Amino acid sequence: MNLLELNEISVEYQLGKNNILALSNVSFSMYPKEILGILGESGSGKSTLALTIMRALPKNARIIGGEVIFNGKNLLNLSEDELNSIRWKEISIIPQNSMNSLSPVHKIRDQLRDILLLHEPKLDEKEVINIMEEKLRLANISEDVLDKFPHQLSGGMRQRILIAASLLCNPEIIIADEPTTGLDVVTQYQILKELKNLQSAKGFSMMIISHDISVISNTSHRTVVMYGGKVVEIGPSDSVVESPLHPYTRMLLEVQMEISKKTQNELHSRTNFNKPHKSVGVNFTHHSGCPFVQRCPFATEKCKTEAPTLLKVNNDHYVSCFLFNK
Amino acid sequence: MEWKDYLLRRSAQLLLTVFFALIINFLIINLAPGDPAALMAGELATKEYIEAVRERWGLNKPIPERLVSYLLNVLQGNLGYSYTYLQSVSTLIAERIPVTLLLTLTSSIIAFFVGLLLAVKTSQKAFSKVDLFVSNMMLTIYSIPSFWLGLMLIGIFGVALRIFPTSGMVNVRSTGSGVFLILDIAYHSILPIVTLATIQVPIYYKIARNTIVEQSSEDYVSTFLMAGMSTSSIFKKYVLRNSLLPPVTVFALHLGYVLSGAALVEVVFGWPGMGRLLLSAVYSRDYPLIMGIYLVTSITVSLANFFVDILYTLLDPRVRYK
Amino acid sequence: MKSKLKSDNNFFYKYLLLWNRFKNYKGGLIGFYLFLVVIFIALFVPFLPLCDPYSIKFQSFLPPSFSHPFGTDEMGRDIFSRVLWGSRTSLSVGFGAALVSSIVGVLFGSLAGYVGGKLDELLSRIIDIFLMIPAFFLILLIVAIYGSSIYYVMLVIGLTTWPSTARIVRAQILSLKEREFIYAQKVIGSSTFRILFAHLIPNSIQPIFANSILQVASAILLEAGLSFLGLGDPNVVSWGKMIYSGTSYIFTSWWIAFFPGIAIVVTVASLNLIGDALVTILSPKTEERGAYA
Ligand SMILES: Nc1ncnc2c1ncn2[C@@H]1O[C@H](COP(=O)(O)OP(=O)(O)O)[C@@H](O)[C@H]1O
Ligand code: SF4
Ligand SMILES: [Mg+2]
Repeated sequence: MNLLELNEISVEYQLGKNNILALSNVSFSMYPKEILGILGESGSGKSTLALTIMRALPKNARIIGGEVIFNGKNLLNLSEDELNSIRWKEISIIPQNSMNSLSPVHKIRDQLRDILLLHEPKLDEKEVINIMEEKLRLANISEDVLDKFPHQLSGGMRQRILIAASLLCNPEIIIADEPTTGLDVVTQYQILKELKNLQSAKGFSMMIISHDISVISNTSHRTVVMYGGKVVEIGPSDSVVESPLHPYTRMLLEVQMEISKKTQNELHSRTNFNKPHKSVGVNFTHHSGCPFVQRCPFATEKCKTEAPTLLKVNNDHYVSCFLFNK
Repeated sequence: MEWKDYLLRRSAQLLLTVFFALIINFLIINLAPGDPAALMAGELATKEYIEAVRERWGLNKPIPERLVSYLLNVLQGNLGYSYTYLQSVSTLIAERIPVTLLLTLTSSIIAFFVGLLLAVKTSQKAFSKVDLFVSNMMLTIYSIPSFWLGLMLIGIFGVALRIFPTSGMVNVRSTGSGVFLILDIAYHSILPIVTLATIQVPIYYKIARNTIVEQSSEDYVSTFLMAGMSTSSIFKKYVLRNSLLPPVTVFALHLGYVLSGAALVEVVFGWPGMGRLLLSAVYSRDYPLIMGIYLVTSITVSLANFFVDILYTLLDPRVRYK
Repeated sequence: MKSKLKSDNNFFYKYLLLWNRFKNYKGGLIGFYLFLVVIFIALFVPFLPLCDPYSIKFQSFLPPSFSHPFGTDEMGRDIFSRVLWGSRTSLSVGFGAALVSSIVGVLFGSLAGYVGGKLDELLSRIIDIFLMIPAFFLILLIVAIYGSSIYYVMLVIGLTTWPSTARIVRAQILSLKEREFIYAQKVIGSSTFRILFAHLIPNSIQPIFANSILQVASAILLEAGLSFLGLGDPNVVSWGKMIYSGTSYIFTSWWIAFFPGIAIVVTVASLNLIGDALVTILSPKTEERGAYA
């Protein structure tokens, strides 16, 4: 059974007189108790995807079509009240850019308490504190932070607080948007390990979003590869990494291989992964054709005019490319 | 630790500002055409009095010594002697400061809340027609000279409708005391306070609106939204709290503007504060008095800025002591 | 290469773009048209068929009527004519003061921003301190002692209000001086003077322009306040002074103070509306927001 199902989701942003199509017919499912990786370079629509599921897109965004099915309900059709009972209690998120994800003038304690009480209004102060402390321990951070303000904490600590926050109501799904971006190598490694352990201990499903293929391949069971607002490949992470199908995925892997070869002995090798490799700016006005056509070494005339669709290649491995669509 | 450093540095800046204001004042006296002693003694002064003033302020000495003697005088609270009131300038001003502050502070507080309230209303529909209309209205109100507005209010509410007194702080014919005196003062202060509050509302409105609009698209808003908090709760608990500080600093930053507005409004309403004092000083060319008023307002504004800056560091945990 | 160096300097094109965006701001546009009317009046008032603003040949305290649209004052002068003539005083003081203020502000601001280091620190301190001194009282003191001719008033207002310009210019120069085309100028060996005056300052002129318009507005209000206290130039018709003389007659002849006040509000509001629209357009945040404006 699918826990979460995305069907044909399209989202556009209005920017000045232009419309940017950030998601185009995105469909995939999330299974119970799995870690699903979303891989794609910066600007490929990953955060837009996360915000669409949470229905928290910025004002200039418009969902053109599609549905998000959770527990048989389409989240995109729910009333604000119905939605608010699902938010955080069932699906929570560790937002991208944890730097400003909390209010700068409120103590961590007040912010976590507010969130918890929204969904568990009957708790007394003692229980609230117990739960907050328990979750902080799970996120491997001391309770002392409760009386601190966000700016008094390091990036890693803030990220851990947001992890603790996401656990507050024991949700079924946690979305982690670039959970390690901007952190130092050691912290990155620890946080990923902790997230993995938490997931297997608690049994929730987790969506890990990253531009870094090593983050995804080290954590997730299945991987969704996105390019230019479209899903280009889905498959078990092992097969995606070992036998990538889509030319874009192959390119990503080659780049990573090169980098790790070059920097094998360098201490700070990981920092290179953090930078989204040169983003070539996707041509969003060009809706017809394959989104990858401009960078694809295998592109044919057909790729310019027709859009490939996601097709099953072998067990649970799907790709959207004409090379596999004879 | 850090905070003490900041306090120290900020105090130094305060002293520097006050010192700067004093220097300007000193230069103005000494660069003025004619005899500075005669200037400070007044038009009708006798020769002996002019000489006494010269002695007292060291005006017969070279410039550096003059400066020292000037600073020493001011340090002792001696701002000179008003030859029209035949009283020391510091006493004259000290008597009137509370009367002026009553107008200034009350009107600022009212304007703060009115501005904030309007901003809360319009920022919910930022960039809508209503929002733009209110913004333009505010700009127009900001363009009204305070003294004219006061005069028009007198014309409407005092003369035509006869609901408010047109001048003064108390009814000269009544001999009320205690509660009645206070009520009488409050009654007389309504029009001047409304005038002064009106010209300040645009200032608070603008900063509050812009801050709220800015804060409403901060990342933490989206966090709480995704956590299931209603937009109105987020606004009340988080956005508003994050938007309060900039308007508070505006109080100090615009205090100079408000004090000058108050001075003019006092003249219109015959309110016996510093503004009235200033007017009569200007009319009789009572230079020590004008200088005193300039100095006292400068110091008041510097002090207000000092305290608000310190307050800011206490209210806003983010402030880095720069 | 040459054209690349110059491309940032295409004034005409820049202003065309600015106007195209300005047109979308209704408030700013209304302000602009109002201001055109005010300017027209100030420029052509001597040629308009008006009574002499100084002539005292009419009856005093005549209420507004067909022959005297704004009535007559306590000395029997035609208020309509005086209000129109007063625009000249207000606008000259406004523009004169803003000009002085801009020149001094640009000079200090660009020096601070471009030279940087210790000089910047010193100038910034002075700017901060100056901003804290209540301009009105300082201006009043100076004018009271040194005299209140219209040129003095202009000069003094300009010399006390420059720090806000300086601050804007400094920030502007700081961000511009790291840009490519300035770097290119340094590489080809242009002098500091040339870089500053031919490239940096012209390229920061738009924000200064917006600020200057707001300064014209505030200078007009300052002058009105001074004249109201009796410190205006006694030889010219001034709205502030007219309001002051109307104060004594508010019980009987409201029109004496009413119309000059309206003139001030219209003039100052038109400038504030223009200035505010420009500031909004030129702020970097607006560009991000795009269609919302
Ligand atoms: N608020 C916004 N307004 C306009 N365009 C946006 C906005 N947010 C994102 N976009 C655009 O949508 C596309 C996808 O962005 P995003 O979902 O943030 O990608 P990712 O998270 O993969 O980096 C990008 O081209 C980006 O420029
Ligand atoms: S569809 Fe064509 S352009 Fe797109 S990835 Fe496949 S081969 Fe390349
Ligand atoms: Mg993202």
